[in-house]
Amino acid sequence: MSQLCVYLPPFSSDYSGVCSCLFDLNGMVIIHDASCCSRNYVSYDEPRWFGNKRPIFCSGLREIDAILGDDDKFINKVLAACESMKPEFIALLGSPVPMIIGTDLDGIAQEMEERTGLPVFGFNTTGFRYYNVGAAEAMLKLAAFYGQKSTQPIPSTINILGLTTLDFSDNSNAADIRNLFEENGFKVLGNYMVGCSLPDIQKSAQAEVNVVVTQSGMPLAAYMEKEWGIPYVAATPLGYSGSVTVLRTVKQVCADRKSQVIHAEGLHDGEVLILGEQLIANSLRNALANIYGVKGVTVGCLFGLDKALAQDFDIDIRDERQIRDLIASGHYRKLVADPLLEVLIKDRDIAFFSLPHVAVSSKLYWHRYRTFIGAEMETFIAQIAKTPEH
Amino acid sequence: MKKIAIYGKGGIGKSTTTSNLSAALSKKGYKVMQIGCDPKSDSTKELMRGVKVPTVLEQIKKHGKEVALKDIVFEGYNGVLCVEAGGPTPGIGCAGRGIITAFEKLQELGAYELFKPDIVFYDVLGDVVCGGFAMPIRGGYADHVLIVTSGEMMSMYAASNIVSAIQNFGKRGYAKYGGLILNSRDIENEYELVSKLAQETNGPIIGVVPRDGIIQKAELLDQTVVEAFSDSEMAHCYKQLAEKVLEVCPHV
Repeated sequence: MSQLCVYLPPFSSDYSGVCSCLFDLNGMVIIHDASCCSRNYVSYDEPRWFGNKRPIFCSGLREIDAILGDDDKFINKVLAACESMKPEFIALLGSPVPMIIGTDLDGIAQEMEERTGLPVFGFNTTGFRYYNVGAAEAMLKLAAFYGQKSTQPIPSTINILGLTTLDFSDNSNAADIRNLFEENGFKVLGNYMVGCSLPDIQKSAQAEVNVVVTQSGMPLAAYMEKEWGIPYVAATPLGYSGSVTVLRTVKQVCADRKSQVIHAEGLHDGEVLILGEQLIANSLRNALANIYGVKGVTVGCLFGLDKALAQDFDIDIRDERQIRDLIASGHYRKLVADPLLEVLIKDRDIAFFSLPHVAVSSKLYWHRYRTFIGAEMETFIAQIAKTPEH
Repeated sequence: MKKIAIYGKGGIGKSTTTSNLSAALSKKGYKVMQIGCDPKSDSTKELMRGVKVPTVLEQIKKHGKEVALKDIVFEGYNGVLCVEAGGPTPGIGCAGRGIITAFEKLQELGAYELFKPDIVFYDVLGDVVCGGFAMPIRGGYADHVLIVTSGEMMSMYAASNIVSAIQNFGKRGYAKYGGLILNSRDIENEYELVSKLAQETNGPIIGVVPRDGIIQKAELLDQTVVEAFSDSEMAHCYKQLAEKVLEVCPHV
């Protein structure tokens, strides 16, 4: 029962992460489910859904299909839809029922690829993992399939990895981050995965450096470093000074070709607790430390902890009870998190700072999202630092 | 690495045959891993001197995310690496899903990369009754499937079903059917009956294991024949069969 969520909804899951990444591409995406997971994605996890038309389908899985494991019925449905949609690729996504009955999505993808001549990607998504795992898989599969490595990187080019609307919503954030680099002398080849095309993905193998802006981009960064020799910088540009730090580090990595995770110096477990996406939270911590000297900041990772990005005292959050216990411990005097988490504060002396996250609160705050680059975030960071502790 | 799945009707002698093959190949200097894929989890018993090793699923239940390879891979006779997937209590849960979870855990923990076995045997429960029990045939796992059968009708019927499952996956480029191992029950015209099955399923009889009381004697000692009676005719027979298995299951 310790995993019971009393106040919080389930966070966005892996199939939403895959769908989010594929949204801007001309592919056909099919979630193999009974319409519950696909509805979940389009209704709650995709800020771009409304007013857009995208080929994301539900397979209409029914009890008898699950019992009989009727792969052919699924395959034929997809092939029929493919005839009329003329997609550039097909993506097949699992959900809890296919996971339980062991549907072989990779195998079905392979079979369908032979029958259609199109690239078909099978994703063994389960609904039991967080969105960032699905997003990571989607980016990795696309890059591995479409990426075309040339012998030399193109100077002053970058890819942005892990840019999803589940992390940055659908305001100007994605464009702002891209513009930050473009306006400072870098050409963005692959904007994984907002506003990204298949030709962009092909070219992305020629980038000089990768900039990883959320933890979902880390597996692709590791892959590109190993396969294509592209080093990375792991940090989200925030505000003014945080953005300057990222730009400076990218220039340095262009020169020395050594990957860097940006961490402020002298950090310790302290009075500020940031609960959220690990890399965004890290970057916020860096800004607090570097600009205001607030170094006692702990990151609680809501979507899994990547050791390569973490400080020793950072926390891998497992369930809502752990969050309640952390907040009630009296150790932290300031909490930065999605507004839905505010209800978990019982101590009135803890100051709360709202940082909405689509993967936590869905559409509740996605139109009140913070702008990551520029004045609004700079003010927010100052507010956290300067608010006196009670 | 050669990855071979051994299928066949329940009770036909898959685990005994597989364990003796593992023992024989280990004596030839190969690093062998045997993975039992049956909720009964007794595939590797004779390689472990009768000790039932903790199963992958038991250990996942006990240790959660912290489960490590040392909790699930055990060294048995002559260095054979023994793993039991495990499964639910009879009558509840989902055994097929259990196999999938166990396989995913072995892969996630990098068992094949760490131990680098030359040969991996998957000893799989009876029929391919659902997706879970087809897991060893699927991409990334076994490259070859061998089926243990006798000349008894139900055993051959099961063998025929298994071949259908393999062919069904043929379009996906999965494991290839390598042939039949005839585990004799001394029924009338047994070789002819199984030869006919071999012809119909388009796979050879790669070896014949005669019926011999020495197998039971070894079982009573909780050992394989290769270990307990290493100079016996039966041990010699298993060693020959092991040679043949290597021959019909080339590297992929």
